[in-house]
Amino acid sequence: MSKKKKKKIVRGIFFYAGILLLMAAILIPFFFMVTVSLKSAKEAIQVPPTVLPEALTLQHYKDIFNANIFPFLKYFKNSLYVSVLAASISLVFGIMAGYALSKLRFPGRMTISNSFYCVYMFSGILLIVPLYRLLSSIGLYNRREALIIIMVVQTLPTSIYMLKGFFDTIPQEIEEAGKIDGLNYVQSIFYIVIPISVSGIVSVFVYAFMIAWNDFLYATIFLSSSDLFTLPIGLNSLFNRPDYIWGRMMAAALVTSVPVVIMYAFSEFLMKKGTTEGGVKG
Amino acid sequence: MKKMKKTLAAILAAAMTLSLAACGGKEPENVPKQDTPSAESPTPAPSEPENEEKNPVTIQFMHSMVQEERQQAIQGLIDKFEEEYDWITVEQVPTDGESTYDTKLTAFAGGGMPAVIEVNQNRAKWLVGNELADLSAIREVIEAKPGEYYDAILKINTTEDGQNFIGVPVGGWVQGIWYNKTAFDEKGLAAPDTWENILAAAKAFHDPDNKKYGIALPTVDGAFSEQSFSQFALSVGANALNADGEADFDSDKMIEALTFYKELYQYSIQGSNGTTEVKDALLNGSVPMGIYSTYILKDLINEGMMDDFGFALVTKETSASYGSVGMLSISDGLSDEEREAAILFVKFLVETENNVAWLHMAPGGQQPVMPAVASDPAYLDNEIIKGFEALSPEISAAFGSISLFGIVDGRNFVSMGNVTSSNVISRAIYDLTVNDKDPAEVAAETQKQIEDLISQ
Amino acid sequence: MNRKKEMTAGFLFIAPSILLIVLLIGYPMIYNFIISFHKVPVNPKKPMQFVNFANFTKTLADPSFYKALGVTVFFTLLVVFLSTAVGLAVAILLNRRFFGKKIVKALILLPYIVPSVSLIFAWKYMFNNTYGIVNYLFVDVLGLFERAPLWFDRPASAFVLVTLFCVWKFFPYAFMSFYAILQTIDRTLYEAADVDGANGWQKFKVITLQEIKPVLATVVTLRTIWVFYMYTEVALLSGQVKTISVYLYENAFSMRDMGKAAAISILLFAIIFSFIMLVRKKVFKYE
Repeated sequence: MSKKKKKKIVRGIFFYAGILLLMAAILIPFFFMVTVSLKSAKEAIQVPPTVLPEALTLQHYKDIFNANIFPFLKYFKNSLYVSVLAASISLVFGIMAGYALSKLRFPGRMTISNSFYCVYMFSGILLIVPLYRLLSSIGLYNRREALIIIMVVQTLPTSIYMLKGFFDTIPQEIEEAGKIDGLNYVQSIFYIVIPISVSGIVSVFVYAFMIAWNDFLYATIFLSSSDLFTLPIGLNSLFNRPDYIWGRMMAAALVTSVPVVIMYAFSEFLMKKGTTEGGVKG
Repeated sequence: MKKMKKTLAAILAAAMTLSLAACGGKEPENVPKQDTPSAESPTPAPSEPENEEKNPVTIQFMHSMVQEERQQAIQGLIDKFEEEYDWITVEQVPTDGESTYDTKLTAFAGGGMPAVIEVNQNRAKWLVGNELADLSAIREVIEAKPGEYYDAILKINTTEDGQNFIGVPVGGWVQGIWYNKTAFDEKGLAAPDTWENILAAAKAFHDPDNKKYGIALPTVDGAFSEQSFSQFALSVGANALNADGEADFDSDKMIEALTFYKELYQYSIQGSNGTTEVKDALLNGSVPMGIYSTYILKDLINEGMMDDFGFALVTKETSASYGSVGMLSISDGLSDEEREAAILFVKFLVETENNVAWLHMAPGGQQPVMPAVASDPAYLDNEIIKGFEALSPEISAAFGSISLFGIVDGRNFVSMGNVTSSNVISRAIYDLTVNDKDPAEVAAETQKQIEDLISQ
Repeated sequence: MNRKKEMTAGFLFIAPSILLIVLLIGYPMIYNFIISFHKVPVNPKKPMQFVNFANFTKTLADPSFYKALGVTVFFTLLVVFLSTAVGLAVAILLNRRFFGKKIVKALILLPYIVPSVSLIFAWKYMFNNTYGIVNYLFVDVLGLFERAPLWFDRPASAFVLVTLFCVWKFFPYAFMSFYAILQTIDRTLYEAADVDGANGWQKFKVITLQEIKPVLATVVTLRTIWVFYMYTEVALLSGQVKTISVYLYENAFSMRDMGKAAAISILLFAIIFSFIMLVRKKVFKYE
């Protein structure tokens, strides 16, 4: 064996060891989420702890879907309602604004383009006091609609920015061709821009959906009635009860992650497909 | 290919318009009650319960019962009420349990309060202090049932000036020391009532190497710690406020109590101990005693441990137990119709028969606040309640010894509600124990915070 | 004619977004400014009371404010630096062909995608004082500590854990950004450097860093704002890490001092704004 080859093998070993270590660091918490969700309530708090479940049980997964035991489905529906609406509205407004900024010339366009991202500075904790006071005073307290509106505004700047980026890659000629066919701007969005940018649009929807799905701060301020709780605040509230059961919490935590993981994977898949087909570049 | 893209675009577009329309046209499902001017319709005289031409009215009832089965029990009561008063609709607003109830209450205050709110005495005080409670409506309910409450309950329930009531009591629990009598007898130890006995027993049982500890002492950064500590402070005569209602947390007596609490923590299970930790430790036998409320009765009975356990009150110069009175508050600023409906609903809930159903939601945990209910056969007809009959005298005595921060020489200072709900005393206990801070330092810091809160 | 039509369409299309942002970000910020000069009663029927700069002086005289600010600045520096560095390192590590790359790339993103609340359960379980696997490993198996550490209950260890959690959760974002840009770097640049006899560090400094600079600037700026304002992860993992967001939230909803909370958020904004301006001008020499 030559020295060079040896060196290559050693480097390969180190490389894979590094990858393995990285994967361990990333996955260990998920490992416990899965195993604990399969352990009995007693085994989960056993001292010394077990690594793998001694007796596998699917009871916790059954329990979280039983409305009499665990209001998981109620929270799930609320989360879905808020996230789907917030993401859809953010997307519609985003497409309109993104199109305007990318394809139409009008005064102030550059200024708006450049300042949209500044809105990022006014996010999260900064707005809780005024938003709470304002929305409460118009009767939107303890209403999921308040959360939807806030989620739209919080995701809008990024949605617009992303969509403008996607639309910028559409060659001017395609749209010109449409104009010759007599398409107006709205038709042009529907028949040309949207079909070409499907993968980009999906990824923006997924982005906004994820933000709304994962939001805790605004939900905890605006929703009081447990009938309206979204998953993050609902699960956290169940976790703070004296009678919580680890397995159930972990099962619920895992099922909560499923929609966002699937959606993310799907949008990645679309993106890849788009690039390999030689269509629009993301 | 092209066709497919077109179809897809059309579907997407349709989906978008649909969702937009759905959002725009969605009727509010859960409109919070607003301050509608009472002029909207002629108000029927409140003294005519048989009136058939009442306008339909909807009121909201906010409570902290997160458990599904308790919500079902409350719904049962509401259904019965609505049958009797058919023009009134009551909506439940179940809110998050203990941990964030205060925050939710604050948040609700800005957006229009539900008509009837389930609170404990601290929150009731807080509502009164911020002029969010309708004192005359509350008085109307209480005066309809004169002399039916225990004296100890009424003491907690009066306003600062002694003229009004802060809420309508529906149930209560007391907190003290639960201890394993059998284990104490084996070691020949006296019941853990006085400070000295508590400390001696904690030392005797403490054996951390074998995962056994002397006591389960609340230390969590939450209301539980203030409740627990208040018993030690008040038993030595230290109150958070003085007779003029000013902050009094840095007195020598208070520092003495803090010092003792910290010493006791040396023999406690370590870390941030909340209700879960204390209860688990008591039930799994890693501690022989712990501070907990009557809510543990159900578990002791279910685990077959009731016979082993005793209940003692923290005693130094006097005995002091912590008690929490569950109350119903009626919100200020309701329309006349809502106000009347709220009064009727609260009256209904404190009728003996309905109050029994309410208490049976958490048998043992929630104790009666009216003698008539306590002796009612329907109330006693419950497995759990029968199970702790032997301890009934101790529990009654505990109700008699309830002492609370903010009640000084018979004056019930409303500002204490602000202090408790701000959590500063609990945080002080946490810092004192888990963060190992100096008692005098903790006292001084907390004193300043309480001063700020009272001046608000 | 057409030019005018285009303008009208442009305004019409952008109007809804602008309107929403003005209504729900612009107006609230102004309102926030107004609140910060008032004493705000909990009861909305009682009027607000003008108190001049009292909320600001109260905040600036509060030692916990400075403590929270210090904790937050330190926290932000650590999390932004570490998550960016780890993200970049992993991106460089993975920027080659190897077996299982697709799966590795997908798994790396998991902490970033999964909701924080779910992840927090897992961490709290692992670091539980009594039955957590970490204490079992450190105390009972390895004997590193004599007494089981109270991980999330002590400010110092809680700070370390919250930092670790945030790096773990947010480095994939940096990874994604860097990975995408690394792929666009022309391989021949490295080959040319090899010919010149440059070592790894020199190649990194001269080629990689130059090429990724714009992305680096964006990642660092956005993450800084994000981490500086972060509430959810910090508050849910441990009540013992008092960052400025936790301080603000407590003032607003526990102490119920909305006026002071508004004043804190104004101060917060001023800090982040000057930071961003400084970074744009000095470090990345924009404009």
